[in-house]
Amino acid sequence: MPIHLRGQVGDVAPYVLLPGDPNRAKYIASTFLENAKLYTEHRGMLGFTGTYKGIRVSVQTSMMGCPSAAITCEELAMLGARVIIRVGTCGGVSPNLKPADLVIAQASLARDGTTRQYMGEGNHTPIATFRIVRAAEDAAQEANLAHAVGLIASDDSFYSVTAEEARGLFTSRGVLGLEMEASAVFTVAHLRGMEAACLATVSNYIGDEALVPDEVLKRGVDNMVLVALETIVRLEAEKPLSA
Amino acid sequence: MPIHVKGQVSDVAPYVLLPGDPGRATYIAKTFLENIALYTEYRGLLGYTGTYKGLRVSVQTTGMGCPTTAIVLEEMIQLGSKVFIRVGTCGSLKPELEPTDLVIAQGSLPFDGTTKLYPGEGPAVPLPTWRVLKASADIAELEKIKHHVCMISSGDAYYGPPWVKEERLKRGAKAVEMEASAIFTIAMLRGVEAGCVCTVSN
Repeated sequence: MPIHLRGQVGDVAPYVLLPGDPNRAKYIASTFLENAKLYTEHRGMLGFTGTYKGIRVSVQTSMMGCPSAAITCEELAMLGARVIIRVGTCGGVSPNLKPADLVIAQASLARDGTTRQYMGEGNHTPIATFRIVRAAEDAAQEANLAHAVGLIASDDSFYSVTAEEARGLFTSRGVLGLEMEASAVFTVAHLRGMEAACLATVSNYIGDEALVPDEVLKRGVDNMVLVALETIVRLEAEKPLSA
Repeated sequence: MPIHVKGQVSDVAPYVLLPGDPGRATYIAKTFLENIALYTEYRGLLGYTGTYKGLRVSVQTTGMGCPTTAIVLEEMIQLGSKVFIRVGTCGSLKPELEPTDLVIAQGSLPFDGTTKLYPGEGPAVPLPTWRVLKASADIAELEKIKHHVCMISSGDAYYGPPWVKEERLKRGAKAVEMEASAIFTIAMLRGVEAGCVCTVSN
């Protein structure tokens, strides 16, 4: 049993959705999965396993930030996870994004400390697994959802980024949205031989103090989770991982 | 007329293939395109426009390395081109990438100097435009061409030191070449689309 995720091998499915928020984990498990069973609640990092269209899927809370996300992904690897799809929110940086739009990350610009500690100084590019990105885009298209596929950035600080800095990230580096976990998720997946991707729904524009209204955010989250689960259905059809 | 790519706006097509080698540009134009016309040969950076299945396509030589590639790409954008696909060779870092396999770049780890100058200090992630990447992978699958969608790495020193290879492998790059980082970065900055497909040469 790992130190933080107090599950046993066998508790965790090959496919894992990774929200930051434990309440969202619970919401996803109870709304979208059948026969969801809690396998860990240590430190409030709730983890559930259930089934979606007959495929075993886990939903594991990462909490906020790359340090916590990296611990979670390392221990998920120990517990036998093979595919990790982060499902979270991001701050909009691209002027073309609207609240509740879906962003599918091709890669993450690593502005965090965790990725640097893992990979050392130098230009590292945490990248999402191509076949997951492709399946996610296909699922988003089929569901007729507004979505963008491109670069996001992972930060360590929620409150230090100014609207001006965010605009600069868009114009000089092509960053569509800012969040706080994807770099670590992609990096740990790369190091531990797992596949990984990140879906994020736009919760606000960087620089706006308030998040979008709850009902708009809920719509974005529901759409994102649906796309993530349908992505898993596509991946399983392509290369079965569930025994 | 730009300083290096001496063509007129009407000479170039919206779609451009970018080989490094002028000999290959000539070969591609003559073998795959119809009704070709040479629009520039200044500095040996041969550029042709013709048609493929009725679509106007240009083939523009970049020369070797990110600095010359950046110049050529900037000038092609000035001339109005919109979608760029680098067609080159790459060196394999992994045994599973065998000679003549197709590599479709998912991103390029920049070890070059040009990419550092463009976005300024700090990390940058040169990525191909998603729809170009996806279309390349779709075609490779459809045509059953042995291919790998993976990270590559663009460097400035073909005969560089061995530590660079270790560093690239550690960071997930499976093949190396010398132009993609600049192409992806400039395409993003100028609002055009780009991709990179390479064949493994060694």
